[in-house]
Amino acid sequence: MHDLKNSRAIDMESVLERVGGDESFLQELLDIYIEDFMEKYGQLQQAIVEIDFNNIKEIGHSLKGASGNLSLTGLHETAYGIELSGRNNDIERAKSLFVRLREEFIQLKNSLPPEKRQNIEQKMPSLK
Amino acid sequence: MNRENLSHKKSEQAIKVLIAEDNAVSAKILKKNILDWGYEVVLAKDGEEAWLVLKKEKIKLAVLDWMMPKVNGIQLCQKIREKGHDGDDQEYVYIILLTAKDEQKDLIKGFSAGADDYITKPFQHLELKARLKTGKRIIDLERQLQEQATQDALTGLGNRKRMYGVLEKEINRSQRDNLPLTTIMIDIDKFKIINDKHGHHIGDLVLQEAARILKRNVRSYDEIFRFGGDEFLVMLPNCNTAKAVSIAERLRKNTSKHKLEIDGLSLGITFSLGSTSTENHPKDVAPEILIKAADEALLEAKHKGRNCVVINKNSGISVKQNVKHA
Repeated sequence: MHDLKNSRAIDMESVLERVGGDESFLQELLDIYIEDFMEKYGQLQQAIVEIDFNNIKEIGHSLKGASGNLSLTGLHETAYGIELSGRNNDIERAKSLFVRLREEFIQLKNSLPPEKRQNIEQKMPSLK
Repeated sequence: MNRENLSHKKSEQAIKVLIAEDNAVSAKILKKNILDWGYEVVLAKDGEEAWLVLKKEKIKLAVLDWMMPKVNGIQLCQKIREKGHDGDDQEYVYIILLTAKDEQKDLIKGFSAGADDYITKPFQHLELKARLKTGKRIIDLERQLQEQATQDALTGLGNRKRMYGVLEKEINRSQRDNLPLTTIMIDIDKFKIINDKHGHHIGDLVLQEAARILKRNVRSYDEIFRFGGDEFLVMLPNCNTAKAVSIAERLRKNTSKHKLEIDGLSLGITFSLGSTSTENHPKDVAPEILIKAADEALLEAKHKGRNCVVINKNSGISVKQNVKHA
């Protein structure tokens, strides 16, 4: 938790308020979020390759909701942008935001304990 | 009375909140908070699952995510608001929609679909707490209003409005299950004299006592209504004419046997009873017809000298009990 508290990826004050100050519950939620993110990340990449705007929109929306609830500010904004790019049929915007999404996630990952970081990198080498 | 006990119990229990949210993280946060505030929580991961929960469980408050797979929050709202979603005992479900900030412009759609309130995601937990509390208050008021609108204030029995609603439903059920349903219309003999002689206060106490006597002498699944004045209607599902006659007779005898001790007075009352069964009518008989037939039988009982039971077999009224003159 210590590194997370200093991370720009997450607004700890607001998220702790939302989870009633329960840090172990927050950790549990983050684990679920990360699993979900990795799955959606792959799907999003696929959707961008296939220029499937509906899927881009839906994946963006889903990531937006989860990121927002965990006060992952940068990921939340980026996911919202992706949802909009899907809505506006803007593939170039979707591509550039996809790159940003990766960077935002790496920032979050780097504030996690080493074993969790390694676990992510093992599962998704593209997120190294 | 069953209904009273039931609604009483309900208010003591924790209110059940449905959370319909496809996102696991959001669902978990919602659940934790709502549990902490003393509610019971049922989770559903999409609109379809939420619908099944609503049909099965007594949900009072629903927090529905707007965007969900299969059936979304708006569609679910509309479905809930369609009449009779949970069968016989429909109660109001207070709906709070969860929306993303940019969906706010669409809110009017949500409200016209029947949502009561909304909250934007990511939610402020104290705001959600306050909004749930508002919902709970409205549900409590709704229940009180419902009770007041369908209950007779003096006796606590169902009133005429409730009577027509329940009768219609029970007649349909009796047709479906091919079982007879019987109604007994009951009138306190010479009630006007009690009122004139002892005053309306005593008259009211007699009515309350009469209601208690009726409750004691029918089966647990029968329902008694105050029809008006000193008239009551007993509805007996799965009861044919022969059984109804014995129940009506028991009622009549038990009432005339004992004096009532009311406010220091010892009063004797008797009942006149008129009964008819769905057996005696065409299949699609309306509640009004059944009531009218029972009322005709009751009138006949009055003419026969009171304190007796008359059955209306539609094809001709038959007196089941010889008139007993005082």
